[in-house]
Amino acid sequence: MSEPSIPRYTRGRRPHFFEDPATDQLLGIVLAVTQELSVLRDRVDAIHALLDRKGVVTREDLENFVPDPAASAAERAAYLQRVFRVIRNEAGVVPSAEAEQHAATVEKQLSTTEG
Amino acid sequence: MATQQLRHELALSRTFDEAARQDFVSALRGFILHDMAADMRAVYERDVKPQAAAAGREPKNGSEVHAAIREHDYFRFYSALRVNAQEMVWDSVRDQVQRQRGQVNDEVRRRAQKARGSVTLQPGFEVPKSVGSLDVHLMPGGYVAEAGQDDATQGAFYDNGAAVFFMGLLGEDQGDIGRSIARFVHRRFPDFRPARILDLGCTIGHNTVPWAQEYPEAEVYAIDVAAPALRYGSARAEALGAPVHFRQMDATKLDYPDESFDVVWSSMFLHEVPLKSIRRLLKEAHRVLKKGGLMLHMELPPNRSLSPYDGFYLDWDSWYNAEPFYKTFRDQDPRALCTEAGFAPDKVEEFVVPSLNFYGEDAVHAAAEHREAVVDGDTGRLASGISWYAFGAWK
Ligand SMILES: C[S@@+](CC[C@H](N)C(=O)[O-])C[C@H]1O[C@@H](n2cnc3c(N)ncnc32)[C@H](O)[C@@H]1O
Repeated sequence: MSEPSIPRYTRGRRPHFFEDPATDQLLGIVLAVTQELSVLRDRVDAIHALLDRKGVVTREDLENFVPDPAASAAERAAYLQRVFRVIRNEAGVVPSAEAEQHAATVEKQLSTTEG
Repeated sequence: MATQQLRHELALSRTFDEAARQDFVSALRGFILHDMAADMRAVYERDVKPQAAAAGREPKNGSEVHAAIREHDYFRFYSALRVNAQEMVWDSVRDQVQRQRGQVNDEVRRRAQKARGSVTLQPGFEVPKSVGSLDVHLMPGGYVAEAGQDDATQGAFYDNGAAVFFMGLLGEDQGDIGRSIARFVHRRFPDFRPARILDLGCTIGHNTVPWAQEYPEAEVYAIDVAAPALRYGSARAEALGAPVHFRQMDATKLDYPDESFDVVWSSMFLHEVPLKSIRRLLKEAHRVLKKGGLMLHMELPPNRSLSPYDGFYLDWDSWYNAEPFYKTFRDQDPRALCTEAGFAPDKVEEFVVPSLNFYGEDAVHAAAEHREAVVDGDTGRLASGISWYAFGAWK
């Protein structure tokens, strides 16, 4: 059966922001890969959860698996922080929770070695 | 932040991968609009503004902020990511909708036959260029693309895309804007009992249905120029148990008699309309309102009530999200627009309404009792605290 297709691309010129538009395109590719990796991570997490629960995984169970929304949202947010670390770092204005914790740990270690 | 799983009877199934892709896009948007937005503001305050000021050009409005920041790397990354994320919104639902479009159209047809509401289309209707020639917010095909006489696919595409775009902030039926504001009006004006309500530029009726639910006695009408959206919206309203009469009509040329409505409402509509047409449709709204009726438009807050930076931040869509009329609209004075359309200056209203979904009922009721409307940098933004801005006037 040949259904008509929803158009895949948007009409109009695609805006670009970097001096070389290829940089914008590369960023699009990186994002698509990041998205696919996120999908794969979700799959692996689902497989683990099903294994813990039942010891076996069927394709059907996997397809119907619904992750805990709060936990997976938090997991995804942390994943994005790791992926975009360099950009936020560049801004240099928002010390991440991770960085703060790291600083605190280092400080503690220093104080114990010195003390 | 995750994609809203739709719960009405036209909701489509999602494969595991489709759901995971959509959730990723919602999370990515959350990251951009929250974390990156905070960084970009800080970069502006720390670097961009002082540099511009030192050169004697401290930005005085949104366009000047844009000019000062656009070469900055942080702006480039923010913007490039945001454009990509916007494209990914649609891409993440496209296959899901395409695969089930036959089903959607069957369901829409089936529901039309036993509807309590209605949908009336105009053969040969002329869609305004501002809608037909544009893929607003980068949605492939825009509002009006259709394959044949009773195709509702673009309506489903919009519904499912909005579920990703709004990151679960608007509730299961994505009606938070209409629901919060209708509740607010009901609470603040308990003696006002609208019998006929009209929604302009309703698309698929996300924010029409809540008015029908808040005022179950009222007859509710909704117009748009986009046929696929009206078809889908009508079936969707039936599925949600709200009888609404959808009609294909241009808001600048309403086919309703003078003084025939108690409420003329719109949400997120005016910013997609050219200024000349906004002026015309406000006059039309005035004409069809009964004396004592209320015109009310939910919109992004106007630039005049925002700092130059906040104005720039909201105007981003106008430059990069295929929203060419957005900035011109936001540069207007809402009060002046109302009075030019025939409303008395002392009858103009501006409301800032807390999101019902986000803050709960008590906050909305408290706001309804409290008088001042306070617009700040977060109003209308999909940030951590959400409130909706609306303006209008009594006739
Ligand atoms: C962003 S959508 C509105 C969303 C909807 N009101 C909601 O709250 O979910 C803008 C809509 O305005 C419609 N539109 C644009 N110009 C119009 C006009 N002159 N008359 C009626 N509808 C119009 C478009 O077809 C589109 O569906």
